[in-house]
Amino acid sequence: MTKNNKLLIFLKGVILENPVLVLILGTCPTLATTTSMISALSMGLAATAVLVCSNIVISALRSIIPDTVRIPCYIVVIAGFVTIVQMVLEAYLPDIYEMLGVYLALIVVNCIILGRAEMFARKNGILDSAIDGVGMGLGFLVALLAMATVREVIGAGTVFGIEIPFLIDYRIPILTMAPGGFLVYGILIAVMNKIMAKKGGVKRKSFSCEGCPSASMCNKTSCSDIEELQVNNASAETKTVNEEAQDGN
Amino acid sequence: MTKKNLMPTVVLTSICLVVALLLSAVNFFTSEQIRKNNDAKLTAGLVEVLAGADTFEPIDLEQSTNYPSTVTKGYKANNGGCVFEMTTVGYKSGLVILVGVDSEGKVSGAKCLSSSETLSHEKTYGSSFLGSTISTVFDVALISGATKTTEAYRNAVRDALNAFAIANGGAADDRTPEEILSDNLNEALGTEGKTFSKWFTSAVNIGGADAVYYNSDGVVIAVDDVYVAYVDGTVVTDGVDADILSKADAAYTVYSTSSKLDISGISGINSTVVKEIYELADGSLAMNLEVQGYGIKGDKYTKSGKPSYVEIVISGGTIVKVVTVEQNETPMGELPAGTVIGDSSYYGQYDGKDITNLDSVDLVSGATISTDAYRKAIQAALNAYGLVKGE
Repeated sequence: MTKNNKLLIFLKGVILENPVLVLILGTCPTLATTTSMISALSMGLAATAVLVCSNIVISALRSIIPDTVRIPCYIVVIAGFVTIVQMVLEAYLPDIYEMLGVYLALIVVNCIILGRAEMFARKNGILDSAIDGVGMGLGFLVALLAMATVREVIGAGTVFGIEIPFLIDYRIPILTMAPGGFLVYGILIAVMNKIMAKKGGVKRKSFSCEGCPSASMCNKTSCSDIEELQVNNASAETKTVNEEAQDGN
Repeated sequence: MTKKNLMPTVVLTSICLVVALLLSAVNFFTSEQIRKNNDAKLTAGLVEVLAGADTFEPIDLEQSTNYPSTVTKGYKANNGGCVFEMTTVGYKSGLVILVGVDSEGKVSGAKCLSSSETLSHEKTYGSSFLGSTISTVFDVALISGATKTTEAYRNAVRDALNAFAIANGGAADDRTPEEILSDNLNEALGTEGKTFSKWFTSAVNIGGADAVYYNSDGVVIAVDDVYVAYVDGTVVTDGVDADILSKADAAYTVYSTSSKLDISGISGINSTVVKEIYELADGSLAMNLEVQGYGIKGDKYTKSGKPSYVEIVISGGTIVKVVTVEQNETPMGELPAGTVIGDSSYYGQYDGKDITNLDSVDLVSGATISTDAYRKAIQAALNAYGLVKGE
């Protein structure tokens, strides 16, 4: 692949297919760890590390792992890297480890990581998978930081735990709670949609057909373009009607 | 089994093994640091309740079957003290407390680690126990409206003090507060197994002493956990601090110059409420009262079935001081309701009142039965004063 394609892979993760604001994945850690910028930064970096490492390994083993056990294999690999990150943080950054709490272990079941393994890493080379991991991880980190900045600065009147003299007296505490989190999340998604509209619309989520209950009756290869599906279905219906009409004749 | 069926199993198993080996390797390099971090965190937590200690060694609780069941973990410090983690049940289960005991067997700190109690008294109650010993731990008052929580907390602190004794080769002290008091009084007077009557505690101005106890053998004055005994007017306790002795002497003077009145012959005194009347040297009357409030009903709303006990001193027809020494209006659960009569902010309102303006102390909404009974008891005391003095 050319250099431009590699840049495109990277930018897709950060902006065009931002996992949090466009693909709407990883909502749970997004809402849970964005009450402070420190925890958002920590979660973003931890998830990025796991994403990059798991993408590399899964891409390297893609020709070896049989289809029938690919999901268990992915999960073992991802869980292994999450456990390594946990042990390293517990040993050398115990404060961060305490701050992230249960959400560190929950990175294993983060949709972004398993989703990218399934959608990209198993179909592409090691370098491309690594770049995709960095891009998606960075996109996750940027989204988390954006949310955390709003929630901490306006909700708590602090930035990285340091009080802002004027804002501390006029903070809006609800932003640090769950309802405020959803509110900020929704606003950020709306802003992202507005920005993307200027660039031709939001890229729809792209899922493979494997495991889809409608795969047997659907004539698509993926769910990436609903309009294409509708056009194809319409063509198929028209063709069927014409055939019946011809038979009738 | 064909290659096609075997391969998935082999691949998955191989990946699992490789990941396991990798994790083992990382664990090898990080486990020591993690252990040091956990030890430092534990030590920091333990030092909060036992200042002056640097290192802690776990106590093997299995070595003795005498450790109270509330003790879940124990640590011996390098300075001779111990820290115990206690788990008990207050109003709800899961009340976990850390108690530090110094080398002299006194509580050096108590902290609630986790709880699910309705109110939050357990978060600050621990500070009340600083310096408590096995014989004085029950002197820490329970908190009205949170008696279940604070009683469980106090019992847990006592268990920790017992655990300290056991950890140092001694035995647990399971005496009740009444037994401890009786033993202290008998020890002070040099007797054994004798019973004592309590004269007055805090309403009477007994010179800063805590309480006066008496029987036919003598008088024992309690001052700051020290028991000073008098026989025929002479101090028989040796080695008493001068300040404590002066307080004890003042209390003894008030006691010895008072006289108990025979009220059985005075008609009109409400003997259900007014139990004892003493005339003090200055002519004022000190009375022990029983408040016949909600507590006496003993129904589903109360657990005591007992009256509340009040001391009052009246001089010149005016109330000098009123003190509730034991309130038994506590309803089931943690509702404060009638416990208000146990608060000094309530009964202190009666100081300075007389028969003409007693009604200026309002009843308390939500505790009308208790406070109405209380006011009636005070009125009975003022009436008794008038009858005794012939006013």
